[in-house]
Amino acid sequence: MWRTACLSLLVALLAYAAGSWLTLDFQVWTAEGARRLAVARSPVPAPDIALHGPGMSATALPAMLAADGAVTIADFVYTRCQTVCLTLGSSFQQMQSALDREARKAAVGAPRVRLLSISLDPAHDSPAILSAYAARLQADPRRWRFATPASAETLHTLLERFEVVVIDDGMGGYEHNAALLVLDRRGRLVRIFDYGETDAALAFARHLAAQGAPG
Amino acid sequence: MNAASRWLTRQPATLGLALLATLMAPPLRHALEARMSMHMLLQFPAIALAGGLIAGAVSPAWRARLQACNAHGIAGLALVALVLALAMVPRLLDLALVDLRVGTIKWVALLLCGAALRLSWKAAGMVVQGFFLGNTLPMMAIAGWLYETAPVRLCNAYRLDEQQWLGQFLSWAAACIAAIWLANAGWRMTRMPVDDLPSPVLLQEADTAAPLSRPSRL
Repeated sequence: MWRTACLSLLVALLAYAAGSWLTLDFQVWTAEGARRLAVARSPVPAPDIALHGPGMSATALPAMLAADGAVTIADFVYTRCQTVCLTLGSSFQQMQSALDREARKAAVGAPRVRLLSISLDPAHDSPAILSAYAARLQADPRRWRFATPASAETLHTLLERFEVVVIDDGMGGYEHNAALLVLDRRGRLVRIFDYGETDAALAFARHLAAQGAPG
Repeated sequence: MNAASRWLTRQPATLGLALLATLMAPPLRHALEARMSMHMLLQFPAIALAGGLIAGAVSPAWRARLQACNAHGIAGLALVALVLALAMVPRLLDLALVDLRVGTIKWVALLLCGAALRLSWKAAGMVVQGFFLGNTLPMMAIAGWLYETAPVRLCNAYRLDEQQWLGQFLSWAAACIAAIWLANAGWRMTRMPVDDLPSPVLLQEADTAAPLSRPSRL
């Protein structure tokens, strides 16, 4: 009986250790939760890949993010999407108008937060299609830009680096872990918010933009 | 024991190894892991079944040795309960697809689960079995309810509709296993006193020897 008790205890301890490792000390239960916690703990630098889009020739992503010392809120979309991207689109419209209001109020200098929608369907979403999509969403190109990786390989690199998992949605489209990605002036992914948390994402981005001198 | 009967006792283990090899074959593995329901409801039990079949090859000597640290099947069923608890964490399903270490541990743990269940279930008896199921099944039903009602996807690799369907199935499976076990336990308990009663011949002998000493079982 003693041996049974010891073995049971050993099994319980092993399971506890495994559970603690799996849930990052019982804080998260999903892969998405773990991804967000990991990003918040240690920022993920954007990969050095080229993106192109409306009014933008192929530009390296880190350079694009580092330009004019602004903080970026990014998301992943595809123009044929009929579900979550529409919600993301309205989230971005809300943030755009919030940034507009703020710019009018502040009068001095534009808010140093910009929006970037990255298409995960480069085969379909050419710059021309993205341009039409942006117009439909009434995106102001000074605040909200659209881009897509130049090739399927670079898209893969980007998705892998930011742990974006794209799956077939069973209806001819894609399903992905859609979220608001906040990237700092050094082009590092520093925080991930739910796509409904526009206020929190904006507040965090503003706070980040206000920290220290630009550059 | 002759060669033929020895081969026969080993046959389930061979079957288990064949099942394991089939499950591990990349085309089938990818097909089963492509959907959340098949990953959890088909692949998990199938790996455990392979483990159970392979455990049939454990020799009586080794069984006795194992029994020494698995009194009443307690350690074995504790292992099964804890592995199942970990298997319900959604992150495990995602990680098992992309992390080779987690994938490997998943297979080994489920094989061990099947083996432990086989080597522990009978020894456990109704009390330990009831305790094990009384813990595991509510956990399974609650996990199922959470999967079914979660408004967002819990696994990045799987769709929301699959998750809801899987959740429903888990809750129903828990209820069905509970009902089957209870029915079986009830049947065994009502049968037991009858089986335990002495045969009529023995009863007659007992009556003549000591007419007033027949113990009442009620």
